[in-house]
Amino acid sequence: MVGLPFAGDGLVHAGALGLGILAALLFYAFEKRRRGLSDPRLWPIAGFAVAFGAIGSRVLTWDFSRQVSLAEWWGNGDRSILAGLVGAWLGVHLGKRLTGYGESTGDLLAPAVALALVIGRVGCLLTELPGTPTGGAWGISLTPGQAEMLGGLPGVGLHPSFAYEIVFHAAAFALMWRFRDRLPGPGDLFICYVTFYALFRFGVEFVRGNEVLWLGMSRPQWFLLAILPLLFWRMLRVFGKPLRPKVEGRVA
Amino acid sequence: MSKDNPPPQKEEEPPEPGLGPMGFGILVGTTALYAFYLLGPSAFGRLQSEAGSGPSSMRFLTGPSAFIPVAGYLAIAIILAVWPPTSRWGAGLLIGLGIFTLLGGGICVGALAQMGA
Repeated sequence: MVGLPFAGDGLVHAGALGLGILAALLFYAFEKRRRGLSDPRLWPIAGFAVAFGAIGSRVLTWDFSRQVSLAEWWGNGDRSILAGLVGAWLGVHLGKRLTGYGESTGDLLAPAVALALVIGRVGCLLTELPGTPTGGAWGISLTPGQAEMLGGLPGVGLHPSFAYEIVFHAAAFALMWRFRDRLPGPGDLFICYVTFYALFRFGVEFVRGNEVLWLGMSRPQWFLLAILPLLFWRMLRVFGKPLRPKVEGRVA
Repeated sequence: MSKDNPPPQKEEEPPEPGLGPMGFGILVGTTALYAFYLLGPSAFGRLQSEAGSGPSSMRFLTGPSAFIPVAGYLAIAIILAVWPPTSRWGAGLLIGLGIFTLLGGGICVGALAQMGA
């Protein structure tokens, strides 16, 4: 078993998250250039995604039933990647509406988001409660002090659920890079990424150790159950069309 | 078409502006937000103490009103981002707000909001 080296260390968590955002912005710039996209509205749209993603990750998890004010929640409440993604999606739509940009930006944003999550989740892996007990001698083990701080069990192997997620996003990034110019329509890459992430996340929640809300499922799982039908419907539209042949050289 | 005709000139795209204004926007925005929420309460408290009005600091910005500066900043950033001549600045300010909110800024705002409690 391995230990948790930086349990509860906000600086390590923030450092990884900051590096993730930086990597995503650099990749966004690179991909924008590679696709030959020079529309000046694309950077403000990225700005809307980052700002509203950050706000969404805090505000959209606000649990009224806990009798906590928004101010307290903002400072000490839960944060969620799923809520952040919803916030970023709303931000992109707001940005596109306000700037009058009509093209799809999903294909440009999806690999950048995956890259940000590969790096950002390293911060979670090193600092947060890893997951539920593995039932075996492997996994991440907490000291009694760490277990008390994070609300886990000491001395048993816990699922490294954030490592699973890092592997998922790294694989997703590689696949998106491989098929970046081959899906039939604009925005399809984003739809595929979000759908597969939703499915993966639904599964990994069973070993994440988040609070069970109802019927053995956590809050993120109920949220995912609600949006998965919509995502499947969009996926049918993607795979109902033939793939584009691979084109060498620059693709607009 | 005659062979003497020159080849058609490629329509030149205007050069993309550098990342300078955006980078500057990120730097200025993030620094301003951290400075306001980290240094503001202590600086204002010191001023009030010197003026003899008690140890309270920035009580007018406690509770939900702690969000007013963030909301104002967001509104300004959106206006700048949407207006083409300042869109890079606005994009930088928006990214700066995102960085501030994700990297510990929530604690700053939350702590300020709870000071009056």
